[in-house]
Amino acid sequence: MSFASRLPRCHLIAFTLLSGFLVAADCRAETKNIMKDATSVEVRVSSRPERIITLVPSLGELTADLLGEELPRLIAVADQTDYPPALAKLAKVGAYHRFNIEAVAGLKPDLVLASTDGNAKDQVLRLRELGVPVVVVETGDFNQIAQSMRLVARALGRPQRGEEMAAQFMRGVESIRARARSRKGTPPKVLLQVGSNPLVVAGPKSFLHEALITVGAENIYADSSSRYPRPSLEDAVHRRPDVILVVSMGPSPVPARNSVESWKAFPEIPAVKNGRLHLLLGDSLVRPTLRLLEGLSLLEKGISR
Amino acid sequence: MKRSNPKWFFLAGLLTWLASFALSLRFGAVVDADWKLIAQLRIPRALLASAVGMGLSTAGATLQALFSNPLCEPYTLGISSGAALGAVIGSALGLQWLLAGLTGSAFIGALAFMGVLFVIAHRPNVSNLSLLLAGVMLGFLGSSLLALWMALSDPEGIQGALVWLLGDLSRARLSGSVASIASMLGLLALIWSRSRELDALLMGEEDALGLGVAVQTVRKRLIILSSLIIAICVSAAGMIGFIGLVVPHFARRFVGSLHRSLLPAVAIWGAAALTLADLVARVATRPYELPVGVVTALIGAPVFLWVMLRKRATP
Repeated sequence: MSFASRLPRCHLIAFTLLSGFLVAADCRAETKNIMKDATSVEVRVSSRPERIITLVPSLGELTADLLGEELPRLIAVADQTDYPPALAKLAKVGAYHRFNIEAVAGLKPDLVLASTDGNAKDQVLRLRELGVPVVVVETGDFNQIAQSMRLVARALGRPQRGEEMAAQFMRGVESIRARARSRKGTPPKVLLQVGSNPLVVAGPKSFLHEALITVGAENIYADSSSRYPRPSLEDAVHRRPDVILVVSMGPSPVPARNSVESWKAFPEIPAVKNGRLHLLLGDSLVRPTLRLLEGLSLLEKGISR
Repeated sequence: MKRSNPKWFFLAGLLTWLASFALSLRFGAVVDADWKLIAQLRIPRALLASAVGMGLSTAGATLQALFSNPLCEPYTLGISSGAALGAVIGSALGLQWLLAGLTGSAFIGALAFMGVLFVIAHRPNVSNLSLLLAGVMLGFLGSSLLALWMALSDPEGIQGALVWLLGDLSRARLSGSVASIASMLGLLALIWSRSRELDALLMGEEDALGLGVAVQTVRKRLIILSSLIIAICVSAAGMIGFIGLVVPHFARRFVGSLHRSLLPAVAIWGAAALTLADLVARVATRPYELPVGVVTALIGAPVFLWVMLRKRATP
């Protein structure tokens, strides 16, 4: 057989091999999505992860919301993940700020969701070294929160639902913003307290700061350099807030209630003098999920009372 | 005090270490861990615990001879805190590549604190107790500077840093753990080769000179070797206290004070003790991990008090 007559066959073999490779490559691409997370790390995630772990309470909530009736795909969560209530029964991997790496890796997750607002960088890095696919979200402001909804939805294999949720969130924020614009008068100066002993307040790099602006308030700690500053009591009194809002987090409202009582020792603060010192019950304000819209209305009521 | 055969004591230590190592691989946060998890997490961690336990105990025994003071050890003398300070400053200045990771800058910190202690120890009228107090104060100084540094640099990264300061073996990687074990064995051998000089130092400077020991040279060498050991331990696992106190005291009861047999016993029992302490730290409150320094302090601080009171009762 001459070389010329063999040529087409070579081509055929080459073509078969090549298309074989392409199909194989395509199959792999079908089972794994390569996605860029909020920290610009490329993560290979299965197109339909079935063993999901979330490392902050809000991501448990967001994941449950996006999964709907397919909730069993979420297998473990961080401590204090209590909403929706079904999540409280899931396996726990420890506190969000120092979760147990072995507990996470031992459950053989095919997707782990983490947040820059709560999880430690070195722990996320270690999980990745162990070959665990970790998608990290950022929730420093409302745009990032909407983006985190889209990102998590894509990781879960439900991009459509993520787009809808993000749009719904931004629409809700917009309507609250419009209501705030329609109100007259100077914006009240607000101290938004998220922790007592030591005093922790909302700083300018947190989404709570944007929440205050959105409802038409002024954050008295807008000048801080930290996300959640810890000012001295003396400084807080000196700034003379018009409104003090104490957010109650966790299962018991008692610490926050005590904190409200302790402010009453300073009648020279306008907020205390005018009875504009309030307790905000519920976690909705501090969870960067769709429930934040409820939190925003709570905040709205808190500053106008 | 009756002495058992050093060989048997060493062998018992070896068996205890092997048993705690095996238990460390078997138990953890996850009940049914597979080989991959054991290989990637538990083996490096147990190896690092062994290396650090070995190092801190030997450094403790060495310091006790160097200062002729039974209550000395890297943590109570504040040398660990100096190493931690060095490591943190080194990493903040980006010196990792220049100085062999954080160990280099930790070594400088440990050496500096050790130098200050030595100057204090050689002033006239300084008792054993005031030397210890000076060490405790150095420790406070180092910890406060560390807290200040962290508060100023990164208030949100403080959680991880605090865990490291209380002793944290969870950062172990296989390559690092193997390197720690290897370097530790080398350094321990170098100290062991000075056993006779250590014995002489324990008798006091004049007697040592009378025995023909070049006291100054030997001291300098031992200071450098033990600072290096402490630097490796602290940069890998943070500040873990009291191992360097409890283990040498325990070992002396069985093999006596001669360093030729004491040091190997201290090394192997130190490895066993910290491996066991870390197992407790990982398992006692799972899935939460206790800082291993908390576990060692819970056992070590009462032992420290006991040794101190006993020494005072029988001068």
